[in-house]
Amino acid sequence: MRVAIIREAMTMTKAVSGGRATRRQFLKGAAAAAAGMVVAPNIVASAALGSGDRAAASERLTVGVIGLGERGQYDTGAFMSQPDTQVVAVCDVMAERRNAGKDLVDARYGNKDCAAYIDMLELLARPDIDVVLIATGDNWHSEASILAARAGKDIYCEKPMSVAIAESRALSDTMRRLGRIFQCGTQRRSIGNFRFAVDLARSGKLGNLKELHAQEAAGMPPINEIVLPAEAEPSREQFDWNRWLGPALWRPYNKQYPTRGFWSSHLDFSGGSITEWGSHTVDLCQWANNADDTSPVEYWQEGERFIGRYANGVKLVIRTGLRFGTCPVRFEGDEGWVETGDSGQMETYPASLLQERHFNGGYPSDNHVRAFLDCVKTRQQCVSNAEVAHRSISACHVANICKRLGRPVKWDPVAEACIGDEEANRLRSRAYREPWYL
Amino acid sequence: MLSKRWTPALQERQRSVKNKRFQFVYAAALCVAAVLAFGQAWAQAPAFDENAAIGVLSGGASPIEKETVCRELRQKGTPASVPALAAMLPNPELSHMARYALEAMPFPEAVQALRDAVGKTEGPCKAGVITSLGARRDAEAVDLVAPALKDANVDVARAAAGALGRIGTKRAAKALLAYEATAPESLRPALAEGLLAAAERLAKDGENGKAAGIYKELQQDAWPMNVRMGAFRGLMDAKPGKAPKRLLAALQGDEPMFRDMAAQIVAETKGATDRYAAALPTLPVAAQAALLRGLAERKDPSAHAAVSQALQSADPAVKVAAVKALGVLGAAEDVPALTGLMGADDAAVADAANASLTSMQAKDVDPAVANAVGGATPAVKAKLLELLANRRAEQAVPLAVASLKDADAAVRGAALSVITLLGKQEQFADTLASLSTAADSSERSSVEKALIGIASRGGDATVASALDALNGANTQTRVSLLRVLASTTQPKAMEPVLASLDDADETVRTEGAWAVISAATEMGKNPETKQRAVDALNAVLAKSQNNDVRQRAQEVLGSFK
Repeated sequence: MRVAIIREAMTMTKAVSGGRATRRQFLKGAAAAAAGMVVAPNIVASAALGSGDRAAASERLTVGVIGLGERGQYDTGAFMSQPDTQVVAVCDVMAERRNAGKDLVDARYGNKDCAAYIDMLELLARPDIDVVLIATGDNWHSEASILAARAGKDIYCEKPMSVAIAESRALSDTMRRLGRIFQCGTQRRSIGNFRFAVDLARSGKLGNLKELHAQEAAGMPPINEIVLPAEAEPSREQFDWNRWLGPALWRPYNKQYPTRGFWSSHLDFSGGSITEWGSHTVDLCQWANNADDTSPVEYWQEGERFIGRYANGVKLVIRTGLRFGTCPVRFEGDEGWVETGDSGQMETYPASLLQERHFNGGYPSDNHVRAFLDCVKTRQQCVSNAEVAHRSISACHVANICKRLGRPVKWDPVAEACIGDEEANRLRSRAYREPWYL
Repeated sequence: MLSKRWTPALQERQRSVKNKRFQFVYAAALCVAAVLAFGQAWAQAPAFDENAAIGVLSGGASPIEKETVCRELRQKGTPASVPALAAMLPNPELSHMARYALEAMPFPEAVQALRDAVGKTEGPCKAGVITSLGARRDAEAVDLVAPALKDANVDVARAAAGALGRIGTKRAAKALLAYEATAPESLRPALAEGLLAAAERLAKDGENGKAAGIYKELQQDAWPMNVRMGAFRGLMDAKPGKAPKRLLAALQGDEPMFRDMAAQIVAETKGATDRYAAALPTLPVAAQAALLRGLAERKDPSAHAAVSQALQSADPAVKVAAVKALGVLGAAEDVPALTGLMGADDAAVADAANASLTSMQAKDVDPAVANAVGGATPAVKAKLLELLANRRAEQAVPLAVASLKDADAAVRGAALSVITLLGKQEQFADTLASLSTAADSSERSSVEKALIGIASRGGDATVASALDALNGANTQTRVSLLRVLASTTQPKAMEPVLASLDDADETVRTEGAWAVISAATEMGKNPETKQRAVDALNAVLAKSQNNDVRQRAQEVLGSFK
C-alpha cells in the first residue's frame, strides 16, 4: 500500500510536466488518498480561496505537517502566518497531537478542511502538497526527510537532523540527488543578534579567531540506553507505537518513551544535551569559522568540556555556563570577543563593536520559515541547507563518540571517518529497522 | 505485521512483570544503563565479555537480553560473535538486532554472513539484510541482490534497488538498468533513486560517461519531476564541460523549476562566467532575473559589466535582480546609478538599491555615496545620510552636521540619526545649537537622542560640555541637558540632576525627577551603582510632590528588592 501510494503520487506528478503552476493544478483537482486517512475532508475548497492579505491560491505553497508536538504546532503557526502558504494536512502517530494539529489549522482558516493522518506516507503521497514541515522526534528526522524527498516535496525539518552521522550524510546526498530544497530548523541563523555575532567573527572584527564556545543543553538527564518495562500497547488509532519507533530497535511499548524528557536523552532516539543545543550553537560556531563544509579534525575532553580543533587551528568548545539565556555562543579572537544568546542581550569587547545595536530576545522561526519558502520558489540553497546542517550535527555526533569512548578522536572531514579508531567508526551509523532505508 | 513481531514475547512480559527472570533482566539492564549514563560515562562501563554475550545470543535469553548484547557487539564484537549473530538473521524477532551489530562490524566475516543470509531469508528479514549490504557498499553482493529486484515482496524489491544504487558499481548499475524496461510501476521510484545513486557513485569513481548515460535516461519526461531534476543536476556534475550549454538551454526553457535550478547551479559552480554574461541580454526576462541571481552568488567580478548593463532593463524583475546583484558585484562606479534608483517609483527597485548600497564591499563606495548627497533630492538625501551611517562611513558625520540646518525636516531627522549613531564630542556644540532651532517637540526629542548618543561615546569631555551649557540655558534646554547628563549616570553628571529636585522652576523639578528615576533604573542593574540608585530614588521620594513621579520611584525601588 505504501509504495503504491507513493507511486501514485509520482505518476500524477509526472503526468503533467513540472513547475509550481502545475502543482497548483493538483490543488484544484486532486483527491486525497483515502486509505488510512483519519479525517479526509474536501481538500479543494478553502485552499482555493484567497482573501485579505493572503496570496491567491495559485500562488500559495501547500504545506503538510508531520509531527505536532509543542514545537510542531509552533512551527505550523509560523508557516500559517506567511501569506503564501496553505496548510492542508497534518500527521501524527498520537491521536491527541494529531487532533490538536487539525484544530489549530482549522481554527486559523475557519473551516474543517485540514486532513489528518496517522501515517506520514499517506500524507507524502498527496500530489497536491508542495512542502512538508517535519517536527517529529529526532529519531525520524532523517528518514522522514528522505521519504519526503522521494515523494518530490521540499522540506523544512526541525533540528537536530540526525541521530547518527550516516543518516544526515544520506539526507544531504538525497536532497542533492533529487533536487530538493531543505531547510533545517536551526532558526538562529535567521535571528539578528546571532547573525550579527557571526558577522563580527567572519569579517575579522574580532581579529584572528581563537575559540568558539557553544553551549550544550543544561539540565538534561545523562544520555542512556535504558530499557523500560512493557506496558499494554495502545490501539494504532490512539498511538501507533511501531511507527513512532520507526527505524530504531524495536522494544515493547512503555508510555515513558514518547515523553520528550525521556527520549531526548536516549541514544536510540536522540543525541542528548550535545545535539539538543549543539545543533544550534555548534552550528553557529561552524558558521562563524566559515566552516560550513567541514568540521573539527580532532576532539578531546577537558573536564566537563569537549574541545574540537579545526584544521585552521580554531578551537570549538562545547560547554555550559555561557550567559544570555538559552543557546548562547561566544566567539573569541585575538582582538575581541562577542557573547550572545536567546535573551537578545549581547556583550562585546571592545564595547564599540556593538555600536548602539539592540536586539530582541526570543527565538522566533518566522524569518527562517520565510527564507525557506523564498528558496522553494527560486530553488536557491537555504542558509541551513542539508549539507550545512549535516556538518554541524556531525561535529556534535563526533563529540558524543568521544564522550562515549572516553578518549580523543581524530576525524577526517573529507572521508567522514575517524582516523585509526575502528570502534569509533562503528558508531557513525546505526542499522535501520526494515523496511526503512536511507 | 511488524508491530506484532514480538507479540508472544510481549504478551508474556505483560503478564509477568512479576516474572522474576524478567525482573532480573530488566533490573540488570537498568543497572547497566545507569552505569553507562553517569560520570565519565560509557568508557568506564564494565569490561565486555564477548563469550558471555555469545552465550546470551545462542541460548534461550529473551529478545530484550539479546538486544542489549547486540548493542555492545555493534561497538566491540569480533569475528567470534558473527556465527551467533548470523543465526539470528532469518528470525523476524531477532533479525534487525543482529544486523544492528553486524552492519557496523568492519571485518569480512560480518559481510559474508549478510551475503549468506540473502538466500536464507524472506520478506522483511531479506529486505533488511539487503539494505545492510547496501550500507556496506558490498560490491561482491551485486549478483546476490540483483535477483531481489523481482521479489514479490515490494519492500524487498525496493531494498534491492536502494542497495544496488548505494553499491554503485558498473555491475550494480547494469542490473538496475536491465530491470528498468520491465519494472512494475510500484518499483519505478525506488529504481530511479537507485539509478541516481549509482550514477553519482560512478561519476565519483571516474566513470563519467556511464554516469551521464544514466542521467540522460532519467531526464526523460516519463520520470517524476524530482528524478528529472536530480538527473539534470547530476549530468552537470558528470559532464562539466558541457554544463554551460545545457544550463543556458535550461534557462531558456519553459520549465520554471529547471530554469531556477540551472541558475542555482551557475551559482554553485565556477568557470564560463564570460559565456553566461554574454548570453544574459539574449535570454527571456525570467531567465535573466534567475541568471543574475546565480551570477551574484558565484561572486565572479568578471560578470560585473553584464550585470551593470542589466540595470538598464525595462523589466522590473530584471532591474531588481540586477540591483541586488550589484550589492555583491558592484563597484564605486555603480554608485551614481544605484543612488539614482533610491528614489525610484517602484518600491522594490528603491528598496533593493538601498540594500545593495548598504552591503557593497568594493573600494571607494563610501566617498561615492557621499558625493551623491549634494545633488540629491531631500527625500533621497535623507536616505543617503542614513545609508552612510549604516555603512559606518567616516563621511557620514560631517555631512550630517552640515545638514542640521537643512530646510527639509526629513533631512534634519536623518542627520540627527547619523549623529545618534556615530556622533562624538566634536559634534556636541553643533548638535546642542540645533536644540533651540528644532521645529517641534518631536525634533527636539531627536536632538536629545543625538546628544545622548554623543554622551555615550564622549565620556568626561561631553559631561563637562553639558555642565557648562547648563549655565544660562532656558528651561527647555536645561531639561534636555539634565536628561543627557542623567543618561551617563556619572556621579559628576548626576549632581545637577539631583540638584534639580530643589529647582525653583516646577518644570525643571518634575522633569529632573523623571531623569533621576531613569538614571536610577540603569544604575540599579549594576551592583556597584545600586546604592547610588537607591539614594537617588529616596531623594526623589523626599522632595517631589508629583504623585506620578513618586509612584514610579517607589515601583523602581521595589523592583530592586
